[in-house]
Amino acid sequence: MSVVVPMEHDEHVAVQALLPWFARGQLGDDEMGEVQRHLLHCQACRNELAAERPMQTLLNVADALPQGGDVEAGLAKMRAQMQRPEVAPRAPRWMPWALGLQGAAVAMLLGLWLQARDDAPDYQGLSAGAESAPVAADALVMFKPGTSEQALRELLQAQGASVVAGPTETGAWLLRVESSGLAGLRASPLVALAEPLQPRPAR
Amino acid sequence: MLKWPSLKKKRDDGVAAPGRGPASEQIELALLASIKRGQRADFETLYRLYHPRLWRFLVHMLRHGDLVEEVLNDTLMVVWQRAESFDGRSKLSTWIFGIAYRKALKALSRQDLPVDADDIEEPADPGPGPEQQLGLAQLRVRLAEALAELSPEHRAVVELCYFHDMAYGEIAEVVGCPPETVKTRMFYARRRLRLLLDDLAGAGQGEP
Repeated sequence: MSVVVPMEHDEHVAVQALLPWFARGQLGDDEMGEVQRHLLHCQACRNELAAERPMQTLLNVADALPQGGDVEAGLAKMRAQMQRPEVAPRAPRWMPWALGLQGAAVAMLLGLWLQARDDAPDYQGLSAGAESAPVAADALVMFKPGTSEQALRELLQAQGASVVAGPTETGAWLLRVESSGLAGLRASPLVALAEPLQPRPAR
Repeated sequence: MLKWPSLKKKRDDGVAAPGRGPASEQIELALLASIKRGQRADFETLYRLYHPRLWRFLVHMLRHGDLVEEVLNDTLMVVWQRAESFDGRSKLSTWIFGIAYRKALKALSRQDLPVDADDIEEPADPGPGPEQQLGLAQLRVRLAEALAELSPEHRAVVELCYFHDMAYGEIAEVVGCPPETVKTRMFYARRRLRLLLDDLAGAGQGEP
């Protein structure tokens, strides 16, 4: 159980408690002003503020203590856990009813779709099925509003990029693109965001 | 004379941290929407995005590698199984860190884990800095001791502020306490670290 310091009764305590966020510019205007006014006349708290940088350095050293985790090893264990039937995503309570009603319709549509389709795609996007190969997209890209189809097409061609899937619900596209192409996309004024999807470099 | 790097210097140890702006949040929410539909590939993308951040957070909370991995996977398993329960009232990262925080406290309550500073490994390239004057290993042992004196609740506040750039209101959401409590924890945690800092600066000045 933590003891709450009566901050309003000790201005120095209140100000020093805020200094880490003050140094990062993360306080609201009111608190920022209060701290600034206090610092003007308080040498002790100015000394505390001056200690923020060494404090960060100190913690950076502490941060280097443990070796980083192994993402792929952790993910492998997670996959093994996910194979167990009891760890499927928990459906909301209305879901069984909805699934029951939808099941027949989905099965029928799926059957019709499979009949009509014999050219399976040779890629898998982020929304690929659970049993599919890992993601084969390199980057997630969002274009600025108003970008025309022609401008988009020319940009992708210029950067050697191809669309894997998209747009997502938030208007993002999944692309296959070389790392140099990704850099080119990032530099383009048409692109609002271009982020690599994989921890490894883009192919 | 000790020389300190900038407060805003790159803090990651080689791991490219994902961006934390609105665009990044949008991407994460798109992934979550897909996870709600049971898409494993999207879950794995989110897993890769969060693994470095959660590892860093949990390793300072728990300070025990095996337990860190277990709690980290338990945390992301909740994201996989209960993505529907995220209601969007907070940032997705706040929700996930909140799960990790509660899981870590529960794990600590199950096991009384001492901090064994002798087990701490040194990185291959520690780089220059004041630690060279004191001896890197010695400095890290003392840091480990100082951090171990803080409660997990206090360590969490320090970690989320100094390494995850969270404002105190967001930290309050993660740890589930009033903002005033976060400030209080920061005051005490900071005071303890400040003592160590003074101690180190004094030792540095005493060196030839």
